[in-house]
Amino acid sequence: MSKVVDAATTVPRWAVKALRGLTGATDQRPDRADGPGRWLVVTVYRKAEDVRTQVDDSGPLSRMRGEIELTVRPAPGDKGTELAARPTTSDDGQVDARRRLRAALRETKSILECGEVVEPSRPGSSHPGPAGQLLRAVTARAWGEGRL
Amino acid sequence: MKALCWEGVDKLAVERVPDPRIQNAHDMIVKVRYTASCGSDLHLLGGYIPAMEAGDVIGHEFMGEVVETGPDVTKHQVGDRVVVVSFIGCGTCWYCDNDLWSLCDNTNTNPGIGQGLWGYEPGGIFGYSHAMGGFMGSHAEYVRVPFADHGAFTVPEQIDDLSAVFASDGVPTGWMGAHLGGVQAGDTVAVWGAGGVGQMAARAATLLGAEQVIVIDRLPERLAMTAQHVGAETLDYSRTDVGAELRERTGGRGPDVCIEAVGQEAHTHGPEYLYDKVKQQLRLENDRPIAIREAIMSCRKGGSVFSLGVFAGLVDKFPLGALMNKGLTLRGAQQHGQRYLPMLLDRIANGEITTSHLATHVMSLDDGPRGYDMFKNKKDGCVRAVFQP
Ligand SMILES: [Zn+2]
Ligand SMILES: [Zn+2]
Repeated sequence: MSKVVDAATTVPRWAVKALRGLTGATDQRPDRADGPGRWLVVTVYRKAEDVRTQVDDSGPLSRMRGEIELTVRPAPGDKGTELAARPTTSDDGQVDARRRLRAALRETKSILECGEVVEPSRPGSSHPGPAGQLLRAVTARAWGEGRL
Repeated sequence: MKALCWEGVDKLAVERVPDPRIQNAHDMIVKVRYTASCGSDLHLLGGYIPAMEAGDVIGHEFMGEVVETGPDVTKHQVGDRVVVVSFIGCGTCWYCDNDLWSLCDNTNTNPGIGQGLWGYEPGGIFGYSHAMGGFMGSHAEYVRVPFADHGAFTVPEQIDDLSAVFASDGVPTGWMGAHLGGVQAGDTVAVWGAGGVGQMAARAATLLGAEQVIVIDRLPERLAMTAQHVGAETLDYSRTDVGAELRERTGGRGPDVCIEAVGQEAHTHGPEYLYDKVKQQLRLENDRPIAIREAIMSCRKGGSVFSLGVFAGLVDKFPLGALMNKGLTLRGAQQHGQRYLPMLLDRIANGEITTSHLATHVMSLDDGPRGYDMFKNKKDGCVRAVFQP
């Protein structure tokens, strides 16, 4: 995979490391495989009650309720509410489960803050080509990646 | 519809692409009347910004007419003449609420890319790669505007279309550099770069009370334009030692605020330029930081340096020692246009800020590739090529 990334003219070498993180070989240290996964936390610029209501009633986190535990606490400095989630069972180092949870947290934040999740332009490009195909593989995962 | 698309490094083409449509409730569709080339597009063209696909529509500075509104758009109606801020802000996250609109938490649809590159992702911008949200740009007949109530502003009657287009990016970017750079009454301000953004930063510095404003460039036509339309002093760096000249012009103190409006494709004479150019081409360093180095070295002790020029990644030979030992404040940002636009449109309407002189070359969108060639190579005194779809 890294060879393909290096060959893509739209991706300078310094960016390769960053993008490689999105193609599965994440640079984050894996969690211990025997316990529950690491807490993923997002700050929502809304009151704790609103956040609690949203995760209980509807949205992607409510659908995952059986597989995750959640905590809600106020963020310091009037920055809103910290919403944390982690899988209740080990994810065996699987990045997919974490990606799905990150994506659900982001969606929840976005829905709470602005009522919807903004979409990239579709269709995104008239003719992506090989480098573009690779980029599409990256962007398909980018919503579920990052430090969250 | 017709659109100007990125096709690969240094390759642009006018193509037919699908019309944009309302995808989110806060979207609206604008029929573009004018859309301008911007210096930061050159970084895209050169392949220095990652995550571009062939066929991506570029362009982020534009104005036009509203032709369709999504169900949650309340401020605008079909037929409104609007200018749209290049950066997309949701208006309801912590960053937008704190007037840091280009850092919006909710408009970058590919946050993992930005976080991989920079730790945290900035907000989305029109026509500026998938690392910046994956929104199709404005060099097209129509453009989809997400969160239109926050990003689009009705153009006052007194302002003509061509003057309004620069309120999208050049004017607010320049204003922000002077404002967040901390320009105070009585200050001396130096601005690197006499392009659209540099000129607007210089004008903003004057309007914020600076007593002396000096703009640095090498192109005589841009320097003449700056003197005429902005009313600033000028300095041709190809003829003098900038640091020495600035020191003497400021009574040996150095400028209080130094604004860098050049970015990663900075040009200078001498070995430093070659060194950076070669490193950039080898991708060992992706940004050429010549102007920002000079700004840091020239700034007075305890002064402030603001980076407006777009950088994408790493620079080297960065004068950290000067920054630390001189007690400087260094700051940078992509523009928070939503914060400034109502005030700036008033100032354009009452003649305090003039912009239309920046549009040196107005042409059809079909001439997009030629326009960018002129703009990039500064042919025929081109400051900005502006396209009419
Ligand atoms: Zn721009
Ligand atoms: Zn926002």
